[in-house]
Amino acid sequence: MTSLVSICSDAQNDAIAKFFRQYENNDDFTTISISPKMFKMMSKVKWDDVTPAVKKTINQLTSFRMITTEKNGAKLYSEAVQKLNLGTYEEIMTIRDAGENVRFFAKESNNMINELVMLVGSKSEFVLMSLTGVIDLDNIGKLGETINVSGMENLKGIKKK
Amino acid sequence: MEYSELKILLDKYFLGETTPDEEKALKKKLQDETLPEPLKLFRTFFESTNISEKIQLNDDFDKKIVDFINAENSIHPKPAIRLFSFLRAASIIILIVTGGFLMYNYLPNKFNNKETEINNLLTIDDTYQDPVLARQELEKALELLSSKMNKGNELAAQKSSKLQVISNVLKTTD
Amino acid sequence: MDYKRTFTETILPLKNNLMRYSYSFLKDRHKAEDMVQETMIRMWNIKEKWREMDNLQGYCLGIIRHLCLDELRKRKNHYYALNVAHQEQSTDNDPLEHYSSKEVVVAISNAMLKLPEKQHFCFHLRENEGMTYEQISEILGISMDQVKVNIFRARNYIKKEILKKVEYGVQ
Repeated sequence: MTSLVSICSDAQNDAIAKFFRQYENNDDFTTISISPKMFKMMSKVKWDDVTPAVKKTINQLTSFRMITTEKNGAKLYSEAVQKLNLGTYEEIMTIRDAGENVRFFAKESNNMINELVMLVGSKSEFVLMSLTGVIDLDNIGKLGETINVSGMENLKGIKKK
Repeated sequence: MEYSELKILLDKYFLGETTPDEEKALKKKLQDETLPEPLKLFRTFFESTNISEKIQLNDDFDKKIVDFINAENSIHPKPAIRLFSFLRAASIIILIVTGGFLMYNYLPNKFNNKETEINNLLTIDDTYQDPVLARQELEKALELLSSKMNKGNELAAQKSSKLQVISNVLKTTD
Repeated sequence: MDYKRTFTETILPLKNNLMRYSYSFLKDRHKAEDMVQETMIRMWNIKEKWREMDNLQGYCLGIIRHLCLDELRKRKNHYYALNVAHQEQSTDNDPLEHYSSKEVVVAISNAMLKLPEKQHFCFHLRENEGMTYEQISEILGISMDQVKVNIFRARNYIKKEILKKVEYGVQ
């Protein structure tokens, strides 16, 4: 197990954490954070009612963070693009459609994606999502087939911790 | 019957010092009909702990698994190929940067990602304390992620105008 | 890395080893086969990680053990009795049968389940697969001395458990 003692002072990753800290206590924002410890706990709970793709995907993740808001979507999107040091990632997909921008970024090592970032910006919505772990895009592609998702209505995330 | 030899073997066995051949001989001796009562205990020991060689899987099993692997490989082409072969443009601008990356090929490792992991591990506070709830919300979030990604693929497939792509050279895997 | 080739050359051949291991837990051929299948599928699904693993065989054993323990837990929860457990009820008073009585068999099964992971692996690989200590040490990534210690402990733990059940000490 690699030592967790050495704290990296590299600015690139503090950027996402900083962005989260800036807004997580703001009422207009909804945040969800799941730590590696919680992932371990989740893997121990009985879990029969999901598709194999979902199980597979989640079992290989080590952390998850998401922040979203319905106010000032476009402004926050530009702010995120500016602040998050996205240049240190590989941009793997960009979609601009009907006033909505969606971008996917990834970091890899040893030929595996170990961090995936999604950024969504439109007038009415801003989403920043970050996953770490062993990430298989094939599996992720399969997840969307199970439910018809239209924006953030389905997400219950709490606004304040 | 040579109980002394049997006892010697048994003692050696429980010291972890028997060779595979000695163990075979030991088990064989214990099958002997004239075995005294107390030593039957050890016959039972081996009968209960050993799994018969007859417990096996035949070639059908191999076939099943190989079929599965082949199916996995063909039904789900690697993402890069999918994205590349369906790229279109028009009112939608889709920029795909680095397809080779997605092929899990060898690429010079530009970014060291241990720091990513370490930082994430140190700074995350859990929003939910209940793992069941956390998982439910995670599932929904992942479905959102997935649907956005698939949307990109679908939009690309729908349009039939010219491509606009910025990419690296695609290398094929084995 | 040629995943398919690695799989067919290194992982698929483990099928009987894994089958016997899962059978030792579940005592049910169909279920045992299911576990082997599931293990292989899971291994395939994490093929990108094979590079990082010291030993694929050892990893497979870990997966199947995990699956079997889960299955056993499920069985307990649904009041599913292992065949052997039923027999635990029978009182066997016949002294002649004592040393091979069902009680002893049950004691052995229970003792096996209580073995810690490494001891169980070492015991299985030696007892059922006939591997040398050296082969076992390679698969599990431990020293040969540790293999010997594990086997010593496993064998003696089981022996102790069955002696507890037996009225007269064996001399």
